[in-house]
Amino acid sequence: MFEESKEATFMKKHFQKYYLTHKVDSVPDVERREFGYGVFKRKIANRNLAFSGVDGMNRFLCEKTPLFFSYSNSYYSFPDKQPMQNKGWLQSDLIYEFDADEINAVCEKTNGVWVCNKTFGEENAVEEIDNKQWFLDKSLELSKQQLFRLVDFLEEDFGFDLEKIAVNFSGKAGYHLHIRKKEIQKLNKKSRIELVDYITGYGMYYDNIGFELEKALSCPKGNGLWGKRINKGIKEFFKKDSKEIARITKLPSAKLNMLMKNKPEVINGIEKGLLYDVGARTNKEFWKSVIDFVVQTYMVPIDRQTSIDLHKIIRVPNSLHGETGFIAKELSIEKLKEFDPFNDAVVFGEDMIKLFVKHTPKFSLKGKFFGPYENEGIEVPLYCAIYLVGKGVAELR
Amino acid sequence: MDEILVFAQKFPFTEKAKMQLKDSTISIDDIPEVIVRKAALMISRANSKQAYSLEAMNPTNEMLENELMAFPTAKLILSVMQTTRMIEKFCEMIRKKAFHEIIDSAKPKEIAIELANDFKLDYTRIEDGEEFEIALIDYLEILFVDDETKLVNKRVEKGSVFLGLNDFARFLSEKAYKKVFDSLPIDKESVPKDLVKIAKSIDSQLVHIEHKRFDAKLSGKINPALFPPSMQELYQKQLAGKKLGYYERLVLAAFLYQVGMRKQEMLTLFSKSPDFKAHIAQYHINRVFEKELSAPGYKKISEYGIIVSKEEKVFKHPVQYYVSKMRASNRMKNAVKEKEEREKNV
Repeated sequence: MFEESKEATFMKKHFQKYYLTHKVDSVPDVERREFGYGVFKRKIANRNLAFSGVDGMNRFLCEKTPLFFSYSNSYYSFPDKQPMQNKGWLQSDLIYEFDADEINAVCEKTNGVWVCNKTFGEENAVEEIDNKQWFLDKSLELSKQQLFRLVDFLEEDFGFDLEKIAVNFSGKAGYHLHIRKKEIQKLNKKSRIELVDYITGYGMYYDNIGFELEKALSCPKGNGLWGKRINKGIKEFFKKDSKEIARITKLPSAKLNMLMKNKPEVINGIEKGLLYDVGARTNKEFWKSVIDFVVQTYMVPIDRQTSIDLHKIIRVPNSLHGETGFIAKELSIEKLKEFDPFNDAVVFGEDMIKLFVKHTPKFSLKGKFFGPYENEGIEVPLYCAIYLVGKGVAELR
Repeated sequence: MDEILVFAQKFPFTEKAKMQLKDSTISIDDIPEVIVRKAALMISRANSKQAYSLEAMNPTNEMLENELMAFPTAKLILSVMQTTRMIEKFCEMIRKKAFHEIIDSAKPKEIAIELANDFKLDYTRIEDGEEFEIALIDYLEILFVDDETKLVNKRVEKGSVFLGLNDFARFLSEKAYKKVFDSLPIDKESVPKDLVKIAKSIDSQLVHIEHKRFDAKLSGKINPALFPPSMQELYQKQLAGKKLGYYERLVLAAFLYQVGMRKQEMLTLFSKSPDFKAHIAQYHINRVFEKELSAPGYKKISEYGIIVSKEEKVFKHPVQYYVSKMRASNRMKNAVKEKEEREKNV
């Protein structure tokens, strides 16, 4: 069933040890869920599995020990039946997923390296070497910030009770948020699309939320949360330097100089529900570019497919991730603030393991720095060995 | 006129309508021909994406009852039809009808409330009754057929959606869509044999109409001479290259779309505008076609400041006027033909 390489056996052996002493009990209604699993270097090798309960699921983890373990957001009458229509869909949790790679997709890729200009200026948030992404603290911090922004949408706009929201680290580079509110579970795909579109600002007509970009030149005054977010964002926008504003809005320099001179007036105008007049011919284009930018900044770049797919399988919270050895740790919103994946998600011990490493940047785990390495033999703690072997950049010696 | 019956006829999917039908003496196995014909007309209109409404200014109770009965009859026929997407088209027609019945009525707020109550919708009226607050979960139950209902363009706070009257009417009409959609198809076994025959006949006629419509579009068989005077005026102004206002252009474009003008023809017509910009015109015309925009009713047209003649005011909608003139013109042509045939034979 599993790949028989030395590395695969090594990973499996240590995962098994972990599962024998750590029961996974994070999936409500196990008997109604479809499960899938993955092997070394293959996240989903099989799906359409079902268990009669938590004990059966844990027995599977201990005996078969998959390196990736996923479950369906949906509840079915017959979760192991195939094809999908024979499963008898009952309801689905609403799941939102952030991955640092998704978030950084918003940023630019330069010379084979992901560079996120959004939050960290010109610094790298993710490094890519030999087609492998190395997520840095910063990129996971960015995922976390986005998650808090999402929580704000869920709580303030949608009125979801935070107690019904379960969050877990993905085990690699992002976070998953599961909403198990009864009324939400029955939502169809179209309704889920509406929620995603709302959160991502997709399909927004600025005039419908209170902006008039031509004649009246007005912005919403205390009318709707998106309107408030955009107003706040516009004020933030004008804190940027003139070069950046010119780049984004393509405003001619004479008009830009005038605008910069009148910055306080521009910002005060927003409070009063008025947009600054940059010129009759330019207003619409200028303000549209400003609002477009603000919406892109304030929207939450969740994984669209995960949010709307009623038949998705996603990592089981508190299971291990076969690419990192990290635990997909369940967290409360409160604990999330302090959570450091490169420390708090590391579960393996300190026994020293000998490896041959191909190519890595400098990285840190459990507060210790490792690398950079290039085609060399090393001896590192077990948790680091699993991290490198799982990523496919190291072989056992 | 019985007020409840009027409401039931306008919104035949409601509980009030069901109650009215319960009192009916008409048996499902013996539906009068006049009702079956109305039901067939409903289906045909739905197929051609045309509006359907009772075309009588002062209908009698009998006419209202027939209209009301035509709705479940149409549902029975639809349930055994083979034409693709017919159920969706029918529901869409009902949605649009419901929206216009609310917005074009003399008391839209009251009608909307009556309909909301019939749906047993939990809502709160705020801002002196000008705004409606409903739970997000209730809002999400609709199928979002109408782009204008997109959640991202609504005020959403703490699990509530706040809707002005127009948006509330859109929401209710979406609820109507879903209610009818969820109720179809009816179990085929319960459809009387006579209606099965009729369904087959409509299926084959629709195939024929589809071909005819395709030809008509190709040859652009619209007859501006039969346009209602208000539309005629706008059309002539546009042809002459005079500048139309925003709403004048929008109404004209939607009307021309409804009567079958092709995109390229429309672009050519609007290219005569003194302030014509190809990419802007193209964008607006594309939107008319993509959104399948309908021209507003005469009430709204008047509100836009477009002059509506007395002759038109007996109709609710400019397309109704055009259709009725087309029919009259066809009848006239047929009568002339028949007369010529008779004279030949003599």
